[in-house]
Formats: sequence, structure tokens, C-alpha cells
Amino acid sequence: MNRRKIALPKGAFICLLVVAAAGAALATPDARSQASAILAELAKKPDAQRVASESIAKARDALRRADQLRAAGDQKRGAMQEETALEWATAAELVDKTAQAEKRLAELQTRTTELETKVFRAQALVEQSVARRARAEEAVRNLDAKGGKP
Amino acid sequence: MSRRSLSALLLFALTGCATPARPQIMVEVDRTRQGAAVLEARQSAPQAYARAELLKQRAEQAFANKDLPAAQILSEQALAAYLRATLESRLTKAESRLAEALVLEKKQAERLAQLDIEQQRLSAETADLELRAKVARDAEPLAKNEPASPEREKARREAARAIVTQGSLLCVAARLVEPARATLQPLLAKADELRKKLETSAPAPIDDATALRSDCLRELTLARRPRAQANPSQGESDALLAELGRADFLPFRDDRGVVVTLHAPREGGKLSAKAAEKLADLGRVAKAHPEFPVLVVSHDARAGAKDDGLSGQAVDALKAAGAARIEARSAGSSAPVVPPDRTGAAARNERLEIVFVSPGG
Repeated sequence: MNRRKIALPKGAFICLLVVAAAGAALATPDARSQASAILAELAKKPDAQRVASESIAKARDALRRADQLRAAGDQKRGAMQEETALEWATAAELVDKTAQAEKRLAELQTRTTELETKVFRAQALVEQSVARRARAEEAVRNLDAKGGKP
Repeated sequence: MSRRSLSALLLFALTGCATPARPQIMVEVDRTRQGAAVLEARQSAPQAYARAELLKQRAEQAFANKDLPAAQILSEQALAAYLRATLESRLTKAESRLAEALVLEKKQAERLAQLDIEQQRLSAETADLELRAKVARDAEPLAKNEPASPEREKARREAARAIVTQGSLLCVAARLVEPARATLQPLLAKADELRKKLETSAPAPIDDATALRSDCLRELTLARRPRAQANPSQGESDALLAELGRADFLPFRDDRGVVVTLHAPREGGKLSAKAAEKLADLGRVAKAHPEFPVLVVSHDARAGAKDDGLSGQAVDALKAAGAARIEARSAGSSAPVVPPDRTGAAARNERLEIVFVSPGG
């Protein structure tokens, strides 16, 4: 009877623990799921595969090592390797993002340089036109002075 | 215990107590941490850098606790975290420069647009001034022509005929720009009078013809002036010239406006099908630019040829395509492009000119 009395609260405690753990898992995805999701997203982008190949490879390798450790029963180090995988996957994502920003910047700088050249030419053209206008004004003034005003 | 056993025990104890060798990954972390990129990230991405430092400290702690596998895993995490810090630093810098470049691009685009407007205004004003100078120069008194030899007199007559035609076409253009301009009618009457005089054997009225052309050019300039002054930057003639050029009409400009020439316009005494097709296209252009009145001038290669109604047919074709303000004139053979006695002159001299009269300079 006493045994039964002790067993009931113990079972309830385990149940609560399982529910809490499941809730926590649902609320924040674990490192493995996050790393896998990032790698799946990067796999859809050929450019990202190219520029971040090294970090992606390291993330995959860390996941593989995590599997091996967990299979060997070392859950603690398996989880640490999953953290490592997430670290590399996030770095790979950042490599892609940085490369895109730098590419956009290079394109914009090319456009700006072209615009600078156009502005320079337009400025020169305006200066020529100002001089031409001044010459024409002078000619009209001289002719007007002679009495040939139209 | 023998001496040998004692030595072995001592060696075992020393080996067991010694600090294990620093793993390669930790050496790599140390080297990375000293790199220029990480040092820069320390300033520009402090949070990411602090995170990497924390991971490194945890790796060092694990190493001190002789937990070599954990030290290696944490060192790899620190290595990735340092990479993230350098990348965040690069990204921040690129995004900041991107924002600056966008502002610069916008500023330059605005400056270019301003310069384009300025250039258009200056071009229009300069063209107006140059035309005024030309008119004033033409208005200067000319040295009177004295009687000449019969050959010279013949050449003078041909020149006078061409100048009278030019003058009357300038006056007609002025009338299209300002239909109510009162000073034009006497000038057009003078042109008719000079044409009649040129039919007689009297000396060629070359001076009167030159004066007429000068007066008509002045009238055209004055008729255009209000519009040109109201909007000096309007490059409407340039735009029309460019549009007709793109449509392969080979347009050019003269004092009247933008001109398109159609060669071989006649076929069996009537407007040729090809010319009619081109006129339909030009009529659509005229409809799209109602500010430009149209002057149609037919030129005949046959000496003394009378108006055979070609210009009237051309007017009908233009009207059918939607052109509204049109006037037609026949120049006969008075304004040839090449001397009529040259080979192939007829093909070049016989033509239709479609003039989009510039309304504002």
C-alpha cells in the first residue's frame, strides 16, 4: 500500500517532465533541426552552395559526427556537435548574405561610376553651350548696335 | 622493489600528471583570433566577437579540466563563431557602403537630369540667338548688283527664282505658326510679283529676292518668339527629329523646321503607292505632334512645269492619317537639288518635302 502511495506521485512527476520537455522542444527548435533547416534552405541556392561550400561541408560533417556520438550513447557530446553544426550552418548563411551584399555593392559602384562619367560629360557640354550662347549673344548685340535688329 | 620498477612507476606518475598537448584546433583558434579580420570584427561586430570569445573560454576551461573531446568541439564552435564575427563585420560594412552608394547614385541621377534640362534650355536659347543673328545679318544692306553679262544674268535669274521660292516658303511657314500675322500677306504678294517679273526679260530682281527671303525669315522668327520665350528649354524639334530618325525617314533641319524628303513621288502622273504609304506614316506622326503644322512642298524636275496637283494629293494622304494643320505649295522646278543638266538630276530634283514647321524656334 505504501509502495503504491509513493509510486503514484513519482509517475506523475515523470509525466510532467516528459510534457515539459516536449513543450520546450516545440517552442524552440533544437540545434540539429535549426542547422538542417538552414542547410536545406542553402541547398536551394546554387550561388550559396558555391560561395559557402566550406562552411556547409563543415556543418554536414559536424552533424555526421553528432550522429555517431549519439549512436555510441554519448548524448552530451552528440548535442555539442549539433551546436557546432548550427554554428557552421549559420556562418554559411552569413557567407551567402555577405556575398550577395558585396555583389550588389559592386554593381551599384559600377553604375555610380558610369553616372559620374555621364555627369562629367554633361557638365562639359553645358559649359560649351554656355560659351556658344555667349558668342551668339555677343553677335546679336553687335548686329543690333549696327541697326539690324529683327 | 627493484630500481627498475621504481623508475617505471615514477615515469608513469609523471606522464599521468603532465598537461596533455594542446590540440591542433585550439592552435588554429589562437591563430585566427590574432588575424586582422577578427581584430576588425572586435570593433565593428562586438556582440558576435564576445560570443566567440566566450566559446573560446569554455574550450580553454574544458582543456584545463582535461576534457579534451569537449575542448576540441568547443574550439571548433569558437572557430565558426570567429568566422561569423568577421562576416558580420563585412556585412555591416557592405550594407553601410551600399546605403551611401544609393544616396550617391540618387544625387548623381538628379544632377544629370538637372544638367540635361539646363543643356536643353541653353540649346534652345542659343539656337534662337543664332537665328536672330542670322536674320540681323541678312537684314544688313547689301551691295547693289550691277547689270551683268547674259550668262551671268541667266545664273542670277535662276538664283533669284530659288531665293523667291525659299522666301515665300518661309512666309508660308510663318503663317502656319501664326495664321493672323498681318505682315505676311504683303510679303507673299511681293513674292508673286517677283515671280511674274522673273518671267519677263527684265533684269533679275536678285536684290529684291534676297530682301524678301530676309523679311520672311524675320517674320518666321518673330512668329515663333512668344512660344520660344514662354518655354525656352522645350526641345520639341529635337525630339521630333530623333523620332523621325528612328523611323528611318532621314530627316534634317532647316530654317522652317524638321524636313522629310520623299523621292520619286510620282507614278503615272499620280502619287506613287510607296509615297502614299510613307505619307500615311508621316500623317500619324503629325497627328501625334499637333503643335507642328505641316507644309507640303512638291518639286518638279521638268523646267517650267505647272502644279499637277501632287501636293494636293499628298495633303489628302496626310489628312487621311490624322494630320490637321497642313498647307501645300508647288515649287515647280525653281529649287533643284542638283543642276538640271547633270546625269540623274531628274530623279533627285523631283521630290516631295514634308516640313514639320517648328512652332517655337
